[in-house]
This record gives sequence, C-alpha cells and structure tokens, in this order.
Amino acid sequence: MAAQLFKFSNARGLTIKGVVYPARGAAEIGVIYLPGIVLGSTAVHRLGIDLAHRLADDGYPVCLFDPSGIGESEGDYPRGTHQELASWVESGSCVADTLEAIDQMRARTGVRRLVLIGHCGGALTAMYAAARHAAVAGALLICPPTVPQGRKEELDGAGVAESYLRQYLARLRSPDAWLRLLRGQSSYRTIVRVVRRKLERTLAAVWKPRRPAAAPAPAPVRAFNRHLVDAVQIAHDHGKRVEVVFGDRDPDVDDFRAFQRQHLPADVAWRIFEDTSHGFVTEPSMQLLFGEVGRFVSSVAA
Amino acid sequence: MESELFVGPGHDNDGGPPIFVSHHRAAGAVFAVLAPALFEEQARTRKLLVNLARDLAAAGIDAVRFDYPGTGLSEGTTERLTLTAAFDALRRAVDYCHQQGAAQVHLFGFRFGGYLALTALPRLPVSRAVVWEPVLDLSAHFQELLRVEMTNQMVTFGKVRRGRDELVASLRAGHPELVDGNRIGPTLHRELEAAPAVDLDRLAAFADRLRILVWDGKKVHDAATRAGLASVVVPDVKFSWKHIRVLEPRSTALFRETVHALEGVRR
Repeated sequence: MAAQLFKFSNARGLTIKGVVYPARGAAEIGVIYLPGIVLGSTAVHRLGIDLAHRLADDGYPVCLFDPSGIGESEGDYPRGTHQELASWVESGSCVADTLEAIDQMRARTGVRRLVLIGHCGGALTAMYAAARHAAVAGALLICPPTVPQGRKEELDGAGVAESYLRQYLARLRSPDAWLRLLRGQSSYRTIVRVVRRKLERTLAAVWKPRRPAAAPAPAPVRAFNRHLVDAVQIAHDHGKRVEVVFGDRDPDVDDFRAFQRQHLPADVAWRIFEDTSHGFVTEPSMQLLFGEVGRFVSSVAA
Repeated sequence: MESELFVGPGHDNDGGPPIFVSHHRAAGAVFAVLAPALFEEQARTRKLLVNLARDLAAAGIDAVRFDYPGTGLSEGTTERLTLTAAFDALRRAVDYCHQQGAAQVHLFGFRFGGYLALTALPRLPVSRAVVWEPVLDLSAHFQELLRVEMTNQMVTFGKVRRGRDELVASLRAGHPELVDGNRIGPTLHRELEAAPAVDLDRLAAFADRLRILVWDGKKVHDAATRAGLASVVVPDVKFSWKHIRVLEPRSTALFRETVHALEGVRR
C-alpha cells in the first residue's frame, strides 16, 4: 500500500511531519523507527524506509517522522559538531515529540500497542520513550551509545581511533587525499592525534609484558548514561521487551560490552553481529539486521 | 504554509514511481525548484534545503523541493533509480510549478542536482538557475562513491573484500551492487559512466541567468570564471555534504546569496 504523509502540531505549536507505511489488513501492533543523530527519517541509506517496507509487508504498519528541529519538521536543531548534536539527542530532546507521535500513530492506524526501533541516538530516544509510554510494548536498540557523548573526547575511544586510522590507511593510495593533505585541507590535528594514540597503544602493549607481575588493575569505572540505565530498568520492570543489537566493528562496542555487564538486566537479550559496522553498510550486515528486526517485532506481537 | 504530496508519473516516457514533493507556499507567482544532492549527500543536507526553501518562501518565492525516485521520501528503491528518472523527476517538479500557476520558474541545484540543473537549463522552461558545488562529471562522481565504499569495507572488514574492479564488473554484468549502503542498479551505473561532463563553455549563452556558488570547489570556480560565468566563492560555509562532523541546519551567507541570485539582484 502507498505511503501516507501526515503532520500534526506538537505541544509547542511546531509542525511535526512524518509518513506511515500501512500494513495490509488490520494490525494490533505498529512500529515507529527512530534514526540516529539529526539527519532525519531518510538518513543512513534509507535504512528506516527499507525496514518500513519489509515490516509493512509482514503486516505491521510503520511510522517514520522527524522530531521538531529535524528534517521536514519545523524548527532547527542546534548548530554544532557531531558530538554536540549527539549530546542534544542524548539529553532527550526528541522524546516529547516521540511520545506525541506514538499517540498519532495509534489514532491513525488503530493499533493498540507499539514497538520502538531506534538506531544510535534514536535508540536512546526509543528507550526513554518506551519507559514513559504505556502503549509501548517493546524497544529494539540498534547500536545505542552507552557513554555520555559530552564526557569523552571522540578520539579517546580506542575503537573510534582505530576506525579513523583504518580510514587514513585506506587513503594512502589516493592522489586526491595526498593533494588535500598538501593543500592544508586535511585536519592535521586529527591525524597527529590518531597516529600518536596508535603509537601509545603499541608501546603500551610492547612494554606491558616486561613490567614486573602485579595484581591486575581494577576495570575503570565508566560513567554510563544514567538516563539510559534508568529507562532500561523502568521498561524492564514494566514487563516490556527490550533487546539490543550491536556490530562488532562499531567503535563503541567495548563500551556496550561493559554496559551490558554492569547494567543490562540478565533477561534482556543482546547480540553482537560479526563484520558489522555502526552504519550497516554491507549486504550481510543489513540482512542480519532485517532478520533481527522482523524476529523482534513478531515476538513482541505474539 | 507548506504542503507535502506525492506527484505521480507524467504522460510521456515517464515510468518512475510517484515522487515526494514539498511545496513551500508564497505569493504563487515566482517559483523555485530545488534539485537536491544524491544518496548520503542528500540525507546530510536535507535540513539545509528545507530551510533554504523556507527562506525563499519568506522572500516571496514559492519553493518546491522533491526527492528523486527511490531516494529520500519518494517511492521506489535506489536500485531502480536511473539518471533518466532523475531528469524526469526534475521535469515533473517544474511541470508542477506551472500547474500551480507559476509565471516564472527558477532552478536551484546542489551537487548532483547541480549537474541536472546545468544540463537541463537549455531545455527546461526556467528563468534563472543557481547551483551549489555542482558535480560536473558524473563518472568521476561515481568513482568518488566507490572510494567511500572502499573505505566502508576497510572500516568493517579491516580490508577491501570487493574492490572497485569487481564491483564495476558486476554492475556491467547487470547486477545491482551496494555502494556506500545504497543499492545502485546497472542502468544508473551505465548512465553515470556514459553521461557527458558539463561543458561550462557551452553555458556561456546563459551567463546572465546562471550563478554558481562554491565554498570548497575551487576548481569549479576557476573553470566557471574562465567560461565567463558568474561564480562566487562564499566564505565561512561550515556544513559539508561529505561527512557529519559538523552539521549545520542553515547557512546564512549562502542562503542570502542564493535568494538574491534567484531574485535577480545584481551586486
């Protein structure tokens, strides 16, 4: 069935715009997909739209919408770096509109219950909203950032630094990249920091065995996103299904592993896909994700 | 006021699916059609074009945005997108303006949309055109997409598993391939490879109706200036279509230049 555009005025009087992909026949459960950062519902190679088509074919209506400030909706997200905007999302800036979108979706499609699926920052919004809205029966978190973005320098994360290094290495054979470097169009500061961190890690690994044996140092206490911890617990206590998927090539996967050990209730399922990056840009990782999403929604609906 | 709708295929050689159109309404006389960038560049700069359209409408120009078939909010899949369908979508958006009673239609193009605007300018019923950082060579643009894909593979697998040659051979054999997360079909690939580069010298006849705005593409600016076209390097543009390290919802200087150029203000 054809996609249906909709809009509504939120509590602050801003117009929120979205699209519903209807299912064939009556459905009891619907899905809202929440993308990451502030690029809107069409972002990251239309992952949400692909998921919407698949879920609608399986009998579940799906809603994509842009919270105020993002994409088609009214208002502007604040100016800033990727990290600053990630903090803006992390602080819950998109939650109020998500709660209103849940009500809109129920009114428009007649579904009683909803599943929220969020990617990256959208996973945080999904979890916060799932903890607050009674109609949400489950939340699938795709690569949720677990450490507050404002509290760490992006390149301090070994995974992020390694990811940058791999990208720089990939460009070594690119004449354009060399030209950009020689013209001063590259970020020398970032390059130096990435290389310096690599050297530090390499040297630390070389020197470590030569040190006298000592008691293992306790694992550093990480300052995880407290709102996320609380939201997972609240949703779990209310009997809502929560699951997490991550990619093993996601720079934040080690943070998630530590988060899982410290904070995820034992019966919250989680999976780490092999050969999968944060953006699900390869065919096998996309298929893994589509399979997981379909399984999750049908298990909540059952 | 803004209206969103799906505009269906036209009557001539246009088999594409309905396209998403957003009409930012103003006085209803002078219109601007906004042709966006493609794939990830389109998503990263969507809010900018939404805000540009809002500023144009505030300046009295009806702004009409659209997504190419299989991209953005339009129906279809990227795999079915073709260059022909993208041109058709642009023509559909221009036709929509005339159906809405436009006395004048201006054209705006960003990156891939800039290529479409520059290529279609001689044959579309439009008054003025403004392009931002236009892609002049689609074949080179496709190579850039492949470079991003190679980087994605490096990040994901630690090495390139399927190189440029293998992907291109597969596309030439008629198989769609995932490039930077978007499934590109063999027809689009063939069209991108075969599309002639924009010859700026041949656009000299449109010099009084065309303005090129760049902030990164010095080469484009130099070539446009040599061809006698009005090209402006706009300073302090913070956003990039290439990455998401800095995300800006608007660019005041760029918007001002664009609105003035479409209004025909000579400065």
